[in-house]
Amino acid sequence: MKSRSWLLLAVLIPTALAAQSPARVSGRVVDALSGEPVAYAEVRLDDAHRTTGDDGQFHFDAVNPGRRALSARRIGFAPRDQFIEVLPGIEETVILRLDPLAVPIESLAVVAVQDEGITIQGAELSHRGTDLGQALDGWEGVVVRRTGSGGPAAPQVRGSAPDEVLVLVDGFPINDAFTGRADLSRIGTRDVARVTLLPGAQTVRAGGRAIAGVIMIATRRVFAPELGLRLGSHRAGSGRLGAGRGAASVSLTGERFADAFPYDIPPVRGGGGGIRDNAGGTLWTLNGRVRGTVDLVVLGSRSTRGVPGITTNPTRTARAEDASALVGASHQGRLSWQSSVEWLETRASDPTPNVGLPYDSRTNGLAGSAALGLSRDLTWAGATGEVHTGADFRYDRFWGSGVQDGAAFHREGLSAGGSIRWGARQEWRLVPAVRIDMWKDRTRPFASGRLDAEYSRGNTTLSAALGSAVTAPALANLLFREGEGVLLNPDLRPERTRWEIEAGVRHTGRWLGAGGHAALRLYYGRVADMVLWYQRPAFNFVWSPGNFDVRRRGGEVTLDLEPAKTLRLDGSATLSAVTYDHTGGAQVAYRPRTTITAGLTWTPGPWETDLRWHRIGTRYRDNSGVNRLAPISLWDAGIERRLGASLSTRFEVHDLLDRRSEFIAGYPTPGRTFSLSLNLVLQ
Amino acid sequence: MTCASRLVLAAACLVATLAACADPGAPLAAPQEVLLVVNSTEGSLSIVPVETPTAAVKVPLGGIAPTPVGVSARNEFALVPLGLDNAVAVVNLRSAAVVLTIPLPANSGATGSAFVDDSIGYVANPNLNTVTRVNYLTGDTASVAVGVYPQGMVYTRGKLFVLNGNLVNFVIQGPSWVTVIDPVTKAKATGGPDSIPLPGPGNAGFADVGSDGRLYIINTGGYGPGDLGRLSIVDPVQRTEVGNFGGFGQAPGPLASDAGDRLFISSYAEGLMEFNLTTSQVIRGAGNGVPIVSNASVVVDSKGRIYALETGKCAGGDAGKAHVLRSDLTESGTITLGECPVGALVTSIPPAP
Repeated sequence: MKSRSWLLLAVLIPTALAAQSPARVSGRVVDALSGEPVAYAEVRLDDAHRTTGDDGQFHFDAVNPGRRALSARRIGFAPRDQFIEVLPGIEETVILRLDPLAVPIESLAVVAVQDEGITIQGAELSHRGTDLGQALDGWEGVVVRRTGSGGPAAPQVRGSAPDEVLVLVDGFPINDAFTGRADLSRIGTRDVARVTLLPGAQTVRAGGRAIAGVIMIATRRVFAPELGLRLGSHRAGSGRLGAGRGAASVSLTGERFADAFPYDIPPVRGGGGGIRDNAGGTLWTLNGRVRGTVDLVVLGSRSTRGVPGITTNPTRTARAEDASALVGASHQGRLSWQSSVEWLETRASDPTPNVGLPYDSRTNGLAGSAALGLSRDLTWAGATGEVHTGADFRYDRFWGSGVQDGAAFHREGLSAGGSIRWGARQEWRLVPAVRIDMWKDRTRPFASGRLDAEYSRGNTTLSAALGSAVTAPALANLLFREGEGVLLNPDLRPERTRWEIEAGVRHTGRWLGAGGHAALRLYYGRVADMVLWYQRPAFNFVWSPGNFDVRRRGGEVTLDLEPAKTLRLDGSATLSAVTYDHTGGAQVAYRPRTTITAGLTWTPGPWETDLRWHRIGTRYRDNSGVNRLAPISLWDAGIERRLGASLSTRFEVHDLLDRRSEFIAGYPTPGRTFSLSLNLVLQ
Repeated sequence: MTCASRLVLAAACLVATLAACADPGAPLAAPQEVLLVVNSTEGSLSIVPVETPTAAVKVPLGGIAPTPVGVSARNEFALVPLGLDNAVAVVNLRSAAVVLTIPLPANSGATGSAFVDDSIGYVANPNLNTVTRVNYLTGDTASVAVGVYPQGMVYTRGKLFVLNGNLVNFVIQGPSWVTVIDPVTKAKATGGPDSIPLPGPGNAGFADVGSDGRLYIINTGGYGPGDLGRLSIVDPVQRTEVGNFGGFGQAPGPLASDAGDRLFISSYAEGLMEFNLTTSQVIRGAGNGVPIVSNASVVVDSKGRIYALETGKCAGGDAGKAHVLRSDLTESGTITLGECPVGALVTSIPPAP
């Protein structure tokens, strides 16, 4: 209690620090019809104004952090107004599309959906959690599968498996080369400028793993020294250093996970309470980027985690160590290219296991990838657009005691596509794409395709899509060393979305005097040969990956409202019926059928308070829909105070009602936790 | 008192009078014979009335990540060890619900159980080389050391015969043996050997009591090519093996006596096989089994109907089934079960008192 009082006090004591604003806002003004830059447009940010050049670009330096009104005006175009969130240290990049018709439009609230995909900004992410594992859980139907407090946090979209969502950081995939899963806990929200979600079958556009969706993370540009510190309950904490100079920025983060937290012992083990031991660990991440004609990206992480095991069989000495490094370079233009080299090491050990013999398994991997693309703009009969072609290649090699000797894999892809846009008052847009995939030991290629269509009128957009997708099984499912309790499945087939159809509508406008945005998306698809682990019946019930046909259908609805400049309400609800593809097929295990999230943000003066409710619906721990796991309902709250432009402090409470939820049965989370963070930008 | 109340009161008095006049010598209602099946990966227990299979019910066993594979029963209670949940579920068959889940020692890997009397049962803890005595009415427990990897047990002749699989890390270390426990002293039995060697391939895990009173034990052996299981016959009084037969192919599994001279042995690889107790002959052995796909278990009801379980895929919610066979081993029908049915038992539920 004493420490809690101290934390609260630290938030409430005002510190009279003031400094020059470190934030920047830049962007482009473009013709919404043609996509061409709009020159000589007047752009206003609060009281400051700029005029765009021939390239449509504008820049504002020394912007005060907070919610700012941004507008653009140009004769012959409808004015555009919107609010943007500006954080200290952020260079916020905005594209303002001006409608060439002089149609009066109402002022906009913060718009979450951009032209393509669903976007959440860094400022909002930092309110939702310290890492993307926390921040994206429940957002737009994303469910983050996390075993315990410090375990890897892998996203699921539309009831997918964790290895069916591709996660890109500045265009480079961070999915583990071996397991296929991306660990969102390695990305701090302070390092993120925005996250964009493209749900659905997206391998045609994004490549392997994107069977159920793509999460694209744009890192934040740091241009002044930054220091962040967070102290939390159960010995959790983190520190962050950021720096930038010119086009280069880098950040280093160290985190310590919660350990020795109380949990509810399941009734099957006698009930009562206990202390979750061996749950802690440390994580170090490095994020560097140099922007220029050629973008350079360096991503590195090293973690040491306790593996506390399932609560029915807790393990005291099991550990997992992971390290990875990625160096990539890319160039965007008519001729674009991207190349990366990735190294990883993973080690699992337990010197004194509960049952059986001690083990110490280590796997190393090295991967190289390259991609080349060519695009060309087109104008035809009043329509504008572009066409592009591309080719990509990736090679993986693994060695160590956890894989078969000489395990290697390669895959190649060819893609082509384009986009075309026409119309003025009523705008149409078509985005077709096709892709051919090949990989090691495949005798014939897989072809997949996708067509997106949009119709916009005023502030309303209707969309529809039909697509297919294919991806090779995660390499861990193919190449691991057959061991105790685990059987290799050499007959594993690739996962395919045979087809998926989507339809949606989104609208920006005003309801009951409040500006806002609403969207609805519906989808239905059939996935062939989804790879799921199961216990093989023959002999000893060993675990092994297998292929299963699955149907997925559902919908997502989102609503953002801004009744006042200082008040924002947001919410989303999703339905994901992911069932085995046979009569009466049950929901696939650990795929919640419903998720709901609702949030409130109130920003009176220098204060910012937020309250968020998050509900994960019923899950089943088996594939027959027999043993249900009760829904999880969590409340999070935070209060933040900006102390001048350079310093901010934030106090958060997660799981306010101390529900101690378990997404995966037997893997409890710490329950109610407190944290206090300070962020300082030195200018 | 209103008129309606008076009518209700009068009706209640009439019912009470009629009940008091009921014939005290009238025969009790017949027990209901049921087939119990553990659906392993689904974590449920199917209760199937053998005369009306369509009235089957399924009881979720709960727990966290259970791996149940077997069931034992007495009167209206059944015990289902929950494997990696290190606990045993007590199911009331009459109410079709789990009424108690009894925690066992940590890391027990609870597998195999047997009833001793109207309050006491035993559960094997293969990872701890012990068996735990449980009062399934109160939840009280006490453990007794046995051999290596106990994974099955039978209660007969006043003694508990514990099958020691002799596995370490799922690898067979040598032949199996039986440890004999006296439930009265809660210790290894006296008055004879407390350990019965079972020469053979090891991995003993399944047993049944034949009509001759002997114990018939399957030594499953290994799961690799060339591994062959064997049948041991044990005299529970002399506590010694009196016979040992091969011919059951790779990895034979649960077995069941028909209360006559027939013994049925299930096998994933060979289907349903048969051994004759009187002639000690393998009637249907490896290569000649009734072709039941993925045959995980077999039981026989009081009318001689044979239930041979087919597990199905054990995944994707794919339901398994019981093939109902006549005494000539021809199929009379099937019963749809849950996902991955692997353990079965036929028992009778007495009528409610």
